[in-house]
Order: sequence, then C-alpha cells, then structure tokens
Amino acid sequence: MKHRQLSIKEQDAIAGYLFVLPILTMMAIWFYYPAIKSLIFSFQEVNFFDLNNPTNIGLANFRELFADDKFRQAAGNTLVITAVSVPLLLGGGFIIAYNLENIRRAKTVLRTMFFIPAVTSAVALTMALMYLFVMDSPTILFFHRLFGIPNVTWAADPRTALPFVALLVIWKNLGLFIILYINGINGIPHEIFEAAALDGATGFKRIRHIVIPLVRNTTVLCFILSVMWCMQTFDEPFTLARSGSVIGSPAGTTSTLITFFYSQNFRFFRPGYASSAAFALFVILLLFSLTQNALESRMNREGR
Amino acid sequence: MTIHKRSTTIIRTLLLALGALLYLIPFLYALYTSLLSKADLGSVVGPSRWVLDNYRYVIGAGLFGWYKNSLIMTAGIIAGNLVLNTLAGYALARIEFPGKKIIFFVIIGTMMISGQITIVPIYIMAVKLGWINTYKALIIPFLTNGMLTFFMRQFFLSIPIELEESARIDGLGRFGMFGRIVLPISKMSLATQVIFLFREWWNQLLWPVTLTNKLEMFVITVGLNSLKGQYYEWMNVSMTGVVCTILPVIVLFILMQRQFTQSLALVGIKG
Repeated sequence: MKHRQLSIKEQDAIAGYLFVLPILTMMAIWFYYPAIKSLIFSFQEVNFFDLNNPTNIGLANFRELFADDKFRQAAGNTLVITAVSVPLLLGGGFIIAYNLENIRRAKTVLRTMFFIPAVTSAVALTMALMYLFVMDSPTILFFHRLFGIPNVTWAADPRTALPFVALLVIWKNLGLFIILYINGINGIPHEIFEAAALDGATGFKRIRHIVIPLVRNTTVLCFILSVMWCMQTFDEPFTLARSGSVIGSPAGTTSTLITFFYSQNFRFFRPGYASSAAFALFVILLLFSLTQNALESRMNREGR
Repeated sequence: MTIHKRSTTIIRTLLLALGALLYLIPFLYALYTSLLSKADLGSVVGPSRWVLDNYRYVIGAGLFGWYKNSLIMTAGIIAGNLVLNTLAGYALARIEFPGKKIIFFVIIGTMMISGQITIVPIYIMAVKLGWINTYKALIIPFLTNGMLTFFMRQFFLSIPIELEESARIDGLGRFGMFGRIVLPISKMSLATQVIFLFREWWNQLLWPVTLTNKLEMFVITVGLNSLKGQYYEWMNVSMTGVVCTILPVIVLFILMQRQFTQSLALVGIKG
C-alpha cells in the first residue's frame, strides 16, 4: 500500500495531541487519580501502616465525621475566620484602594508597602506577629488599655487565638484585594467621573452612586476569592501550634477544615477518615462555586 | 474648593502613610529583635549592643540548605509548568483537533477542585514510590497548573493569527511556528507564569511539610517553622529566621514590582 501523505490538517491535529499530551498525562497521574482515590478512601478504613489492605466501610466515616465534635469545631472555626475576614478584606481593600487612587504623592511606595505581606510566607508572617502580641508586651498593653482585650499572649489564649488567626489572614491578603480594587477602579471610564462631577456628584455621593456600583464585578471576584481562601486556611494555625503539639492549639480553638484532615492523617494515622473530611471540604467549596455561578448568570440574564 | 481638595489629599496621604507604616511594623520589629542577645529581649537598646549571634545560630541550624531546597523545588516546578502549561495553552488556543473541547474541560476542571483533596493519596503514592524526603516528591506532582494554562490560552488567542499564517506560507510546520514565531513574542506571559509560581512555591508550606520530615530536606518555610522555639525566650532566633525567609522575597519584589503586581492580578482569572 502506498504511504499516503498526511494533509496539513491531519499534521496539525497530531501536533495538537502532542502539545496537550504531557499536561494530560501529568494531570491524570497527579491530580485526577489521587482525587478519585481520595473519594474511594473516604468510604474505607485504611491502615496507615498497611496501606494495601483497606476495608470498605460504606458511609461510616461520614457518619463519624458529622458526629465528631472536633470536626464541628474545625468547621465552625473555619466559618468564623471566613465571616470575619471576608467583609474586612473587601471593605478594607476597597477603601484603601480608593484613597490610594485619589492621592498624588507616594502612591506607588504606599501601594508597595501594603502589598509586601502578600508576597511573603504565611509562616514568617505568623511568627512575626505572634511574638509581637505576647503578654505584657507594649503592643498587648496598648490593645488592653484601648479596647479592654485581655493582657494575654494572643496566640496561646483560647479566647484570642481564633481572632488572631483572622487578623493574620487579613494582614496577609489585604494587599491583594487592594490591587484588585485598584484595577477595578482604573477600569471606570474617565468620562463617567466628569459627567458625574457636572451633575454635582462628589465625595461620598460619588463613591456610593458611581464607584461602588461600577466595581461590582471586582467585588464579586474578591468575594469568591476571599471565601475560597479563608475556607482553606492552614498555614497560620499550623504555625501557631507549638512544635509537636496537635495543630489547632490552644485546645482546638484554631483548628480549621484543612488542619483537621491533616491531623487525622499525619497525627492520628487515619487516611480514610482524613479523606472523608477532605471530601467534605471539597463538596462545600464546589457547592459554593456552583451557587455563585448560578447567581451570577441569573444576574447577567436580568441585565443587573 | 481647590484648597479644600488639596487639604483632603494631604490628609488622605498622611493617613495612608500611617496605615502602611503600621502594616510593616511587625517586620521592623522582627528585624530589630533578630539583632538582640537573649539578655536584651524585650528592651530597647541601641546599635552598640546589637549582635549577629542569632544569624550565626540560624545558619548553623541549616539555613543555606533550606534555601537550596526551596530554590531547587521552586525552579523545578517553574520549569515544568512553563513547558507543560505553555504547550497546552497554545494547542487549546490555535490548533484544531478532535476532542479538543473535552480536553479543555479536563485541563481547566483542575481549577474547580481544590488541590488539598489529593493530599492523602499523593502522600501515600510518595511513600510507595520511596519518594519521601526527595526532590522528586517536591517537584513532580506539581508540574501543571490549570489556571496558568487558561491564562496562556487567552494570551495566545490575543496575538494576531496573521503571524502564523505567513509562517505557514514560508513552509514552517506547527513546531517551527511555535518555536520561532510564537515563543519569542510570549516572553512577558512566560515571566508572569514564573512570578506567579515563584510566589506560590517559595512560600508553600502544606506540601513540603507533608512530603519531607528530615531536617536536610526542609525547604525554607518548613525550616523556619522548626526554628520556632518551644518558649518565647528564644524569639530572637525565630525572628532571625523570619528575616532570613522574607528578605530575599521582599528584595526581589521591590526590584520587579510591576511584574509581581501584574502576575497577581492573574488570580482574577476564572474558567
């Protein structure tokens, strides 16, 4: 049989497959396979020291999970971190971005300063801040006198540890939301501000009736990102825990969904149970992004 | 009116400057504490009493090894991602082949699923392969990124197709076209990928802490965490670790500010 010359279209298709083959292979091995494996594990009792012989136990992991006080505490803490941080990240991000856009001098320098924590490691940020907020230190005495916050080491006291984690999350991420809002505000056409000024909309009126509605897309984006990130808080509570102790210390008050399943696997050696908790987090995040997608497309259909 | 406006601008600037300063006080405090001897902790002392002992201690604890491990991990991950994401992004943008739509969703779908659900199975895979405490474990599972692939696809869609059409007329095949025409004009997008991945992996804790447990294989974040004293009286050492961890990144960030800001706006991409 005569060897047929491949057409340009066929050659191109072959090139296309060759271009996507490496990424598909890696994603199959290191993403989809473990993700499915994790789902299977969550219906199994897996012995950490004898990984090859798991036993199927149906929904027992999930039943245990929902009755587990430690899991409830972790889920509750994660929700608190999210509920406290998200509004402050969005509000703070917008206010600082708006003001940064309305000054003339030192704009870039100030923006850089706010942005620095966002490029550094959460471990370093956590350690820097936990040693600044130690009992009897000037910082703590300042907050004690001003707001009546107890004179304790914030990272080590069950009353202050969780708010402290939220503070860390905000400190690290605020710079990012400032940048996103600056982009959003810069995207507003200049003519709109000029027209508004002619109509007498200045100061707060301008912010309320023009800027805030016009950065709505940015706000939606910031909301989704901040919720996603807060739900996945791990580095801060992990660093807060004294070496060797159970993550989430003091007394589990800083445990989060991720520290929970991390501990279940690496401290209590229960991969199956850990996977069921990981799967629960996955479902929560998926539900969140599906709800938000549905809401968004409905809003777009209604033309706002 | 103008005077009023100017004064509000000044007040704004001052308030923002105050806020920015407060924002960085923890870093300055860390830097100051890193220079104190144990006896001087918690007090205010002048430069004459500052010491470098803590830095010596941190170096002795393995600082340079941690830097090296972080560099190898980050560089390996960046190299792999540049190749894999860019190739796939190009194919998804420009080449027609059967099944492209499904492949697109398979790749982009990884954005929708939080990577942490894979942590237990990947740990177990690493154990079975004997990869715990190796660079392989720190690099190979992380060579792809759905979001960056999507970003590259969008970029390739934005370049004029005439360039490739004229290359085709000159007799170049897909590979030649990609290597000689497309890549050279993609430098900025490649740089964006580099910086995005650098920030993510230089600061990464969850994965390296999972896949290593030997001091010699610690990356900088894990090493820093191990410096955390059991008691607060060692905070000068911990703070020295903090300074050593963040200083290289901050210097790099200040040198390449624009690229950093641009690459971080990337998180705004949604599939």
